[in-house]
Amino acid sequence: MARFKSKRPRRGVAISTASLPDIIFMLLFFFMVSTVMRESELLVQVEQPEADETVKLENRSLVDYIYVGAPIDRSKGSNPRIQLNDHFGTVQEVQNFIDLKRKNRPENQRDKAITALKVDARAEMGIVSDIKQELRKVNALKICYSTLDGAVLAETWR
Amino acid sequence: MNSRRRGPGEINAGSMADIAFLLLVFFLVTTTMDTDGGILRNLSPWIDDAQPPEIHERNVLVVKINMHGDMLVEGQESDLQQLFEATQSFMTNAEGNANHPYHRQINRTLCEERIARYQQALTNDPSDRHSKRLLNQWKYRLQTVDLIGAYSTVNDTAVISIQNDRGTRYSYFIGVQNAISASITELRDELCQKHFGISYHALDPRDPEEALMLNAAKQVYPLRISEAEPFQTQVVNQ
Repeated sequence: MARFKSKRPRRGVAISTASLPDIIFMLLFFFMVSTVMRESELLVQVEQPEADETVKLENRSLVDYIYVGAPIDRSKGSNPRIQLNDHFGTVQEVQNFIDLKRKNRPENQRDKAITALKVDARAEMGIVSDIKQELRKVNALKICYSTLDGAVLAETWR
Repeated sequence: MNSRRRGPGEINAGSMADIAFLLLVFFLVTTTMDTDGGILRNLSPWIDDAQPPEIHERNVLVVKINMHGDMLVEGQESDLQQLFEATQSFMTNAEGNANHPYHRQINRTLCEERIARYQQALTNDPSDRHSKRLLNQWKYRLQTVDLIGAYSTVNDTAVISIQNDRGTRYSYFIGVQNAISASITELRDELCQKHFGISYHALDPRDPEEALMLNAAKQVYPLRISEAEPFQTQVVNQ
């Protein structure tokens, strides 16, 4: 008769962790490919309105962002404020902001620059009109009213 | 000494995973999936003490929005759908309505004559930006005539004027911009379907042939919006 080996209590089977970094690297590459570096921390609440006649801005290096909305930090007030780069700005500072951005761009790209206005849907037109006037004064004529994709005509707008 | 020789050295995979996690967390924190898009417009250049140009009433489609969100199109209370239709009838003026802008016929001889005229003006004065701009415009029109034959379009002074209060909500303003854009896009789409059999939305500006078709659609139905600012009427072209 054959002798059976006495079964020792088996320890748990070790899972090979050699493939764990591969999974993580895959996730990493996914994020590297599908995202863009965040422009700046939003200091204002911007809930973009919806529109369907939109064009995608492809080259982010050619876009200057101006954010308008109520400050996220309630202690700074509830009136819509302008955010340039990463701090609050006034309407008068818009011209300097655009000039600065322009200087940091190579010559041949200066005409192609677009100014994206990311304005909260609840903000009022007064401040937006002021910004547009300042943009006209510095000859930053290409603007984009940033919106989310959505059908506008199908719904009532109130 | 009985040192157990392991096989070819095994890399400890645990620390590789840690490095990868760190990089992943970095990217998660510093990036965003935001794709940017919006309604593109070109503002008109600032002129220091310009008199707002006098435009005949029939050439202007007046859209007014007040701070409560009420909209008046040519003095009539309207909603977005009616604005859409009013813009289309303004641009096509199918019935030859006297309240809508008159249309002009653009044909080859007219284009060639104008191009010659502005080229002459430019040889006389090479820094004349006005003539340069008009020369380019007539060249685009000649390209359009080559593509679709003689056509009629609104005259050059026709604009859609948007006037709003300082207190008007931004979302209403965008709604109006969107409705006007949508109505012109639909007209351009009909034109493209009729002449080229392709939808306007499918045209790729990077392909030279399709760029010509895009140009033709834009010449026949130009999008000209004027946003009235306090004390100054300016024209916003697209």
